[in-house]
Amino acid sequence: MRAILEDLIAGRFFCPYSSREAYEQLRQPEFAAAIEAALRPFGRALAHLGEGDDVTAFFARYVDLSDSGDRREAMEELKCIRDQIMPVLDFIHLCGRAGQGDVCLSPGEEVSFGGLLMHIDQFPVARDQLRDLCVYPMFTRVKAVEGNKEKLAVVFKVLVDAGYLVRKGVESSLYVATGKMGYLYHMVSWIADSQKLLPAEEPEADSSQGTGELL
Amino acid sequence: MKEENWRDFGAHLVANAAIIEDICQADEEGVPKPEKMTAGLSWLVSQRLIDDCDGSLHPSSMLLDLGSRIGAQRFELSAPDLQELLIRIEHGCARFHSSKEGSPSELDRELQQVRLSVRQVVTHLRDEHRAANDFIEARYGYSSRFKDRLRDIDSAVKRLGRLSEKLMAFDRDTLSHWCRKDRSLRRLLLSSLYESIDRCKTGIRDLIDRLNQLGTTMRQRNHYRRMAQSVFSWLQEGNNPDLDDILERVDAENWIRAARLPNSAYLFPPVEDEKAIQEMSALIQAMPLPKVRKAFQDPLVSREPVKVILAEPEVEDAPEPFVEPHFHRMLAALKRDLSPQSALAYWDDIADEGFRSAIWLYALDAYYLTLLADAARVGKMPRFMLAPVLAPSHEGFDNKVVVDLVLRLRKNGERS
Repeated sequence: MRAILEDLIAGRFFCPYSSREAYEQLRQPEFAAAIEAALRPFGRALAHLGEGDDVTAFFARYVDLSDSGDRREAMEELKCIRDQIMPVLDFIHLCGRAGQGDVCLSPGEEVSFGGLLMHIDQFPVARDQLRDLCVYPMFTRVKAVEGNKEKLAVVFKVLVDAGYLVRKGVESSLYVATGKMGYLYHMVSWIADSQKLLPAEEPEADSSQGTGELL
Repeated sequence: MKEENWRDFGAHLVANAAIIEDICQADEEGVPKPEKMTAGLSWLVSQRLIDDCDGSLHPSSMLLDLGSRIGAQRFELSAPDLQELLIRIEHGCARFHSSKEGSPSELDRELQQVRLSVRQVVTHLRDEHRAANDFIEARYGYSSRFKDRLRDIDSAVKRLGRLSEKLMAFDRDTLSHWCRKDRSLRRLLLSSLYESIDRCKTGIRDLIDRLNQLGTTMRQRNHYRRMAQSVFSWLQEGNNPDLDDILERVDAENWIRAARLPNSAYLFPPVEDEKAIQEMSALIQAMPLPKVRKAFQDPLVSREPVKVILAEPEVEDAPEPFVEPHFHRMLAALKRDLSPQSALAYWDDIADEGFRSAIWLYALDAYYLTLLADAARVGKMPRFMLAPVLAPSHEGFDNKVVVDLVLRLRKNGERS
């Protein structure tokens, strides 16, 4: 519990892809209540993205924002996440082009370093897109290296360090989007809603039948 | 069925594969019947795998099912008609009961027919379950688009729903009624068939749950994708997102991650409360004094200067090297004869020191090197030199073995 508390206070997200064990513990109501109680004296509370069985991530939030210090910190946090939205969406756009299909890097979705590199090596447009990522302060370290592989490695490292991706295995070239990506999408959804950017939902096939009520 | 039947069946299929494919691909008019029917084709017609109608050949439904099954690579496998199989089982049971009064072979044949139908149902259910499971294990089917994946998932859910509806007809009471307390049929229908159906129902329920979960994930990802695209385009147009308005929401605290809490703090005493200040002062005074690390005593700095008197070391003469008298004798012989002096020959002549010649040569070499070092220090090279005599080299080794040292006069410009 101490390790989880320390990580929550340090601003870490807990999701099934980055820390399955801690995530499962936090799903237990008694454990979550104990964590909640331990966070309260610090003016923090346990927050989660999603509801019920669909909770994708846990993190620490402010109990309330009436405290001026907390409010100031919250504004800083919003600025920080705001500055990361565009670079991360640009990276997702790059992945989408390489994946030859729909890619959004929602929590749990995988992205292959090798596959992406192959696409970048093959298509000059993707190469330009990778190079253009370094215009964002978040990816400014990309400038310092030469070669597509090295540049892409830096991009992945930045995203891993920022908590958006986690390597699937120690030796794996596959990376998994974490619960923090869900947090970013949370903010993106706010922008989409507030600016009324989302077009009307595309009509879906009738799914009223066969939803498990037949047996 | 016998092994031979399967061999015939396979052989006829192989021999007539081309025309079977033509028949399956033909339109409603079928394929004209060849003038000369092969034995295999006639066999397939006799087994009703191919229908012969008005001089044209048509595929039977069984052949089409078979073709569809072996050609299918996805979840949409052909399914036998479970309702039809149920009727077949019912009629088979009725015939079985009727033939009890007949010959045992007829009874066996009827039981075999029922067993075959039961096997078809069980096998089909197992295939359906496996196909659906594979579909889920592959997570999203084979499509790369979210919409296509969603359609595949919905289609799979509907298909499993229809299957479960069909299984409702396999009611335990009905099957039990058909058995009429016959042990063979009860074993077949209740123990084998019904238990399999029951397992399948449970499996289908789990699969539908998982598919629904998968569908929810897909819908969410599709929503994320659309959202990301629209916001990305909006940002590319130069718009700047201002998230500060989130703070104005009623549930603002639920939206924002708390910043890292530093692991330190400042102590602000309650300056207006004198009692509290006094208590705090008392508390601080009651605290043990901080541990002070002892200063490092540098002996060079702290001590008083001490006069150091150098003691005269006692000098003893070194013992005379045992090589020295021998070397001087060799040197005298060189001066006298002006011819090279072999150290080995010298030692063999006197050999009364109790050392082997190898030790003598080793000591002589060391003594000579010492003489050279002394000579180099004073800058005057001796007029003699000690030259090694090497043993013939071995073809397999590169070691140099010194077998003798020869004392001779140094030539002009020669170095040791």
